[in-house]
Amino acid sequence: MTVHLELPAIYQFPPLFTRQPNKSIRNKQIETWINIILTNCEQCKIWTITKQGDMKIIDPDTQQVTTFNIFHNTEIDRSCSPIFINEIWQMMQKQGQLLNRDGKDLKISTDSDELQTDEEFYILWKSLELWANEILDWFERTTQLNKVVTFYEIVSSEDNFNESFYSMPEPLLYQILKILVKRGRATMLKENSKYVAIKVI
Amino acid sequence: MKKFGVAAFEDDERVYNETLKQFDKQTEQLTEQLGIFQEKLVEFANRHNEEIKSNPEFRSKFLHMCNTIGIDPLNLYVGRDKHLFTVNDFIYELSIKIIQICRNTKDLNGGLISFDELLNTYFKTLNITEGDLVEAIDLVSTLDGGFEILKIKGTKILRSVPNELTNDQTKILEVCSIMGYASVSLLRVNLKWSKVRCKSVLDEMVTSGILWIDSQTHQKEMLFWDPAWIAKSLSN
Repeated sequence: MTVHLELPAIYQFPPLFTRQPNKSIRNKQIETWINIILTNCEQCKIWTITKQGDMKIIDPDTQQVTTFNIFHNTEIDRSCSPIFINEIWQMMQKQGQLLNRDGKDLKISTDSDELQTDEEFYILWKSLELWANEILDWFERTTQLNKVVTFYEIVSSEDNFNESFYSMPEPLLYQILKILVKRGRATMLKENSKYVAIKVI
Repeated sequence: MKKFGVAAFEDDERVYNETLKQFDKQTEQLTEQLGIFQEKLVEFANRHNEEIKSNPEFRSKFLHMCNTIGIDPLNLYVGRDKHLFTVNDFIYELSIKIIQICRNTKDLNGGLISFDELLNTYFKTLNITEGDLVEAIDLVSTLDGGFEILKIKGTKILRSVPNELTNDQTKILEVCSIMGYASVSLLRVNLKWSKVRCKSVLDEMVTSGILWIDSQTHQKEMLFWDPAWIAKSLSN
């Protein structure tokens, strides 16, 4: 694999993949997991993760896509149980680090042993509020105020290659921009009954 | 012009956003000023080094100030590698660091941390020897916080929780120091313990957070890992 994930030494520690019975240890364990997920997603700009922990890593040079399951360490042959993974998702949701694709609260049950395959989450290494501030700052910095800017331009224009939000999925951007609308700083424009652009004042 | 109804809130919104912007700007300026101040402080400390050393009142005020603005006194140097403070102050600061590290890692390792881990991960950038650590721990042990140095298979380990390790627990940690883990069968073969004894001591150590369980082995037996393994794998 050409993409380098930065996995800490504890990632090779076999018990990290087994749910620890001691509560304070388990909290530390979950905290460790969240750290691993957030740091790697931020570094490789991985915006989504499936409920099982699959992340798509795109090689910046070759554009090749590799799927990597964070909860499965092939090197030491250990993986997290669905129940434990759910516990991690729950904690992340509580801390505002995870968002459902449609922006609604996730339904995570700890009793259920199965993980549906199609579900995917957005990983928020920055909170929605913080993202909103950063995008607002960009609007002001690049004098885009009072202009209609499409979602596509914000996240996909080559001019924004060095911006932290470059390559962000548009539905996630929509969730963030909604905050600006709520603050009364922006209005969104529809095309074919779908929001596609925004004007910030 | 005065607006009425819902429209009256629009102005508030704008004012709010502008204040927000101003706050951001202020934070930026303050950070910059603080940076300059820190630089000056180090300069000041270098110039008045002798006085800081000789005048205890001045010294304590200086240390207090350092703490308030977030400067680590351990990072203040006079010249290249001579620390700003006399040995005693240095050890004093070091012992505070050690307490902090033990607090932070307590949930991870159950209050047991090896000297190797302290030296190789936390004090890597500072010129600190094993002797310094012993001296610093000696200093805090008078506080009755349960700090104690243990020796397991020749390596020094610092225990920061007040519960005494039993003989059996120490034996298990010895086994762990070789393989990284222990298991019921491993203990039965090597220490000739009964199954019940192995199980109860291991479970006890999991409860107190000293060992982590691993249920995914091929031997179909639970393994009990010592978190010290994590730091050891770093140095290998």
